[in-house]
Amino acid sequence: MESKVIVITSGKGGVGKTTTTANLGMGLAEKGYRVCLVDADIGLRNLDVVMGLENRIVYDLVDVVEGHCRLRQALIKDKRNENLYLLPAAQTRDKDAVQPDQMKALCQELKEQFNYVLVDSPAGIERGFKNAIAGADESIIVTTPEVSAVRDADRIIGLLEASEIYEPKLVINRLRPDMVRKGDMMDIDDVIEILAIPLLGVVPDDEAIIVSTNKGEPAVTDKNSRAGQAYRNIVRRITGEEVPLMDFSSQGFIEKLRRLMGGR
Amino acid sequence: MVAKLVVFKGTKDGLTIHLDPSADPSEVLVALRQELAQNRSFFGTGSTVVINTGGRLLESEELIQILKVLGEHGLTLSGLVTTGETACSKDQRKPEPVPTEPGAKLIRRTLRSGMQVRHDGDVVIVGDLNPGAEVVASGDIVVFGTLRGVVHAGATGDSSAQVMALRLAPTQLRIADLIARSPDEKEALPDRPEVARVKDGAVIIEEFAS
Repeated sequence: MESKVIVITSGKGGVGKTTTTANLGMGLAEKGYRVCLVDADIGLRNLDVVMGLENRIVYDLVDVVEGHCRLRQALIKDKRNENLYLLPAAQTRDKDAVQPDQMKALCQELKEQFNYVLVDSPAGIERGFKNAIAGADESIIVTTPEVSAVRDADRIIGLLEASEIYEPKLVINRLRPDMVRKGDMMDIDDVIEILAIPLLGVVPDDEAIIVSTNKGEPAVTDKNSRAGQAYRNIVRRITGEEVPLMDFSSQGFIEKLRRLMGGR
Repeated sequence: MVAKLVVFKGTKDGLTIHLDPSADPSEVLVALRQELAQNRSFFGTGSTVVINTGGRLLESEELIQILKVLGEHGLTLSGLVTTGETACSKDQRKPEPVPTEPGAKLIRRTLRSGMQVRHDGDVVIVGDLNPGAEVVASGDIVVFGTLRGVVHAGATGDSSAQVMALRLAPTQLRIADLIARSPDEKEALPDRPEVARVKDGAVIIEEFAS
């Protein structure tokens, strides 16, 4: 298959880029693809923590770019899945330590070894963002159903187009169906109407995500997590399967009972 | 459109100021001063501008005065353009009038947050104008799509300018020196084309009737 570099970005911070990167990476690896996660958030690295791999870091992305080590030495193999690797960011440097050209070369090198290279972009539209998108073939925009997050996502889509990364796909994160029903939250259609890009998936707000993030265990492997199910669906869509959107409308007694029983 | 003595025109290289070649130089200078004062928002301080004399020859004293007025507004002159052979000379020639009627700008895409279009003339957008995007035009603004961003029509002072959209839901809508903003309570999107214009000193929005 053809290898792909996909940047996961949002503009706004705190909408779930890192969580999404970790879950999609783990999900793709579980399907048997060779996956490399790249943390492009130099100076504020998080992806290693979310993946529970912090204690394994010896070299990082900046070390590779500056030639202090070989790429192979900086790649960290995941503790659960041997198809999954992480290239961590440097924590003691800042975004200016890397040039977009260097990121492009790095992504090219990773593409030769992996099926999917997922780049976790920092928030913002400055150097860090430009570095993150430099080597990307495709992009996934993460937003929450909030006006401010959607506004920033819109800006990012424009900037991606300007950098000739077309057809970004959308992940709407942390949707609360109960709030949407009461009219207290933007619904999926409101978001799509403004951004006008293809929807890759909707992830419901799920407390299990906070728990799994803190434990360093991506929720995608948790069969009982609704967010995990949403991420599994997104993974299948990335690989070209047609999967209908999860039904958020019926979370009544029966549904809750079924979840209690461990089904879904 | 009443012929103006001074017309601003945005080009890809920056702002060009067209001076009416047939008008009295002192009147042109007064008009320039007024237009600059009225349209501060149309250009940023520190911008460079090009003066187009439209074929008339500037006296050196006049040029000095123009430089002084530009300087007062934080603008620097980067060049002189003319349809005659020189823009500043003692040589006396018959001035040739040049057409200064601004044209319309057609944009065939959605303007997303952070994008800005400034144009001397009318602006037509085939696509949406999203919140966070801004269009400033000296003439009318027409959006064949949903207008959710900020628009300023008649930005150089023309209060007869209009804003039309298939669905008109701007964050803020300005015509000449009037400002209207969206209601603070969320409203349903209009389901038919509407037009905003100035009536009796206020911006009104009504259903579009051709």
